[in-house]
Amino acid sequence: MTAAGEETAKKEGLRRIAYFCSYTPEELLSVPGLYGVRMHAPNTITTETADSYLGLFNCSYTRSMLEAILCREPDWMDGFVFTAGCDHLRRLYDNLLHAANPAFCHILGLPYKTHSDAREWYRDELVLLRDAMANYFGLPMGDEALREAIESCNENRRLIASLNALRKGRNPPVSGEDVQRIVIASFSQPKSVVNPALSELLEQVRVAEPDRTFRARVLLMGSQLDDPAYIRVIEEAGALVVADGYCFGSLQYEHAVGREPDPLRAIAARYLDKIPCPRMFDAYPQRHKRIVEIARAFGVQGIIIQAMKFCDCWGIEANVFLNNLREEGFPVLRLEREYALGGIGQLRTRVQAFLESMGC
Amino acid sequence: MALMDLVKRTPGAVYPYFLMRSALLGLRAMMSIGYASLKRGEKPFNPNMIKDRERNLFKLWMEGRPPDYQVAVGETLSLTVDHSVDVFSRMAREPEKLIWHEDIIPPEIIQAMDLIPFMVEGMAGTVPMVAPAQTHHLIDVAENAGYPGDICSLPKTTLGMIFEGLLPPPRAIVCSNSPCDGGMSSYLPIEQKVEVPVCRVEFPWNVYEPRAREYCLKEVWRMIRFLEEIAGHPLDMDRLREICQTRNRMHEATLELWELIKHRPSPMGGVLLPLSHMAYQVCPGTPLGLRIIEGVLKVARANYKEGRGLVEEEKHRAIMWGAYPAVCPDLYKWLEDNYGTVTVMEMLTYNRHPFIDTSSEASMMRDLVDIMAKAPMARHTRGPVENFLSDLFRVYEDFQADMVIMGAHQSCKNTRAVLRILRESCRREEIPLLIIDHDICDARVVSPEGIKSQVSDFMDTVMRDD
Repeated sequence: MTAAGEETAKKEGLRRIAYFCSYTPEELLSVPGLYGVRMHAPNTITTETADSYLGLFNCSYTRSMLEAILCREPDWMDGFVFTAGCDHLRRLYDNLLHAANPAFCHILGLPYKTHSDAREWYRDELVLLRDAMANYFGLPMGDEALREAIESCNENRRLIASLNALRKGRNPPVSGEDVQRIVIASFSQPKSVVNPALSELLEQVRVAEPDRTFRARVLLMGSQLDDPAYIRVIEEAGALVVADGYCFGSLQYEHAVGREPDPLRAIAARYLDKIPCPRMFDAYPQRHKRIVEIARAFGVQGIIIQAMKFCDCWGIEANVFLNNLREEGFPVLRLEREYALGGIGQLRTRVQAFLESMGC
Repeated sequence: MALMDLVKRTPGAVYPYFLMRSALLGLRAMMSIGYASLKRGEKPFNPNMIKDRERNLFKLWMEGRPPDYQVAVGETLSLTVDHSVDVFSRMAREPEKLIWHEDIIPPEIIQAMDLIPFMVEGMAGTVPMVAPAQTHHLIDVAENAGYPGDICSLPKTTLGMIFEGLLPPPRAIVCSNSPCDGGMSSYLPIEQKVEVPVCRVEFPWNVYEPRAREYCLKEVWRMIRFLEEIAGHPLDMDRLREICQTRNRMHEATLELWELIKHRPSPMGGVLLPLSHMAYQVCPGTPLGLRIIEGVLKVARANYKEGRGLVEEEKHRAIMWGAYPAVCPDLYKWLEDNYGTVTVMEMLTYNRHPFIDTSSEASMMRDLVDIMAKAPMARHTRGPVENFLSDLFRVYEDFQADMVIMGAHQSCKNTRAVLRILRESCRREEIPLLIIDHDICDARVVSPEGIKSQVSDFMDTVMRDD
């Protein structure tokens, strides 16, 4: 799917815009003539160049992204769209501008709350982004183009949600690793390529009966995770990941854009109504409620929280979640990790011990 | 003759005078708090926890200084500490009025509602100056409760104090998303621990954006409605106006002080900068706050009039940017004594803002909200990196500095991420820059001696007098 997507994009002359956060309005990056690529680079082993810009105490996701960008040709991406999501992302934006000064680099002032003033603020931010993009790329970005983009993004979310729903079954036809690969492909390719391929895949897996054994069904949640290999290690240890609560998972694809007359207002509402990231500082009750709902709906037996080292928002909230979820009777394992996969043996042992503690 | 004049004229009397004053006031506070707490059947807070430390700092900062300067240190420190102890006394008497507020939320509005503001981070930020071992214990308490080692040690010290039950429980909490993610996020476990209503005030990413003022204003009004519900009465606008007017007088004195400091040799600087600025954090808009700033200004004026500098021979003028290493409280004095280097301005003290226009409710609220949103640290760590750099270059020029010390607090993700940009920008502007690695609260990361050693290397090589 990835190669096909890139080929189509090249053939059709689509320009690609990199983004980093689940609050980036993908719809604006998916108007005819453009497509969005949610940045991920799990194979970045060292971050030597990026480390000379960002500090060693910045999260390894942002350092890996800067490394991945600086080590490529300047025209590798046609533009970058940031959100002021967290301290690390904001400073990634500053350092990217300083080090590479990309021709198109925009940052959205993302609100921390979801009340009506925040929605209006975010809508205004979307207007600024739309105007900047229309001006720079010379593309029509009026309501009609936006509605078309909303349709294709909603269709993509609907397809992923359908696939995800299959994981509720006793013997899910797709593993957590499979779903992660599909989600990554979905948010890295033009929707015109991804959606038909996803529809086809959905038909195939609907009837699949995998020959799989596992010891427990788990929900995996926490900070930025885009490496299917990390999930594979967990699943190889016997914990089948049947649900998720992280930002390159359900935080990215749950919740469709509504059908309000003003498409930008509808987009703003969607992003502020989705499962909130811990940076939304008054939304812990909603976040917690949704995680518990997902855990119950997917019949999970345990919850694994992974927090990337140096992520303040998840670093603190992981502990709060750990305590609260345990109080509600969920067995919980908390892991700390770096962006690049490492310490596989230790990870496997931790998961095995967790499963044993659950009596599985 | 006033007692203070007599003390000043008696050689060696200033330090013992403040020691005795501290001990007596500590005793009085202990009796007052003890009586109020025992009457309520609660364990009393011991004000000598603070007063003992005050006495250590007197020694550290007064030794070897002229009597006028010693008096300024003594008064600034003792008035601030006594105010904090008074707050503890009020807390013991009227616990239903206690509001914890985060450091970016200034206390003026809380004061005007006849509630008791208490800045929790303020306590956590001062403990490392005088009680490193206790700070380490508090950090360990937070880490042992599951909070990661890489989170900023200031919120961790705060969490440790709260988990240990060292602070009287509040009626409500007001906090914000500024200045950083670590501080912001720490209010979730705090909320769960103390189980009181919390109001979170949002400041947009870039507070210099034209739309930001209106947004912040609405957020602060939400906070006011929240506090009105807690207090059971509306905000007293006349009282707030009085506070703002006194705050303006404090600011006027501060601006005059800054103007004097710009001269060579600088008649003031060093530790009295942050020490006097604490008045803005603990008692802004009060006669006490005004007295603190005016006390320092008085010494600066006298020095300036006599052409006397803070140090005998001023060799260098430093700007302290970033976070001051609280674990090394004598750094400024040590720089003065060993290198003739006066710290003429700091990032956290450079609280520049317009006067509050008290002519109408709307103008007063607008200017107060601007002060909150654009507070030092908040305005530097938010928005694009230009917000962090532009102030530095302005201050460097205005205060005729010849070097910059950047306090690179290890777990401040925000400022550590711009060190290369800072370094290259300073190089371009030909500004000598020292970046010191440290942790503001945790001396186990870099000891005070380790901090001084980094400074020595810089002074002996880059700033040496050939």
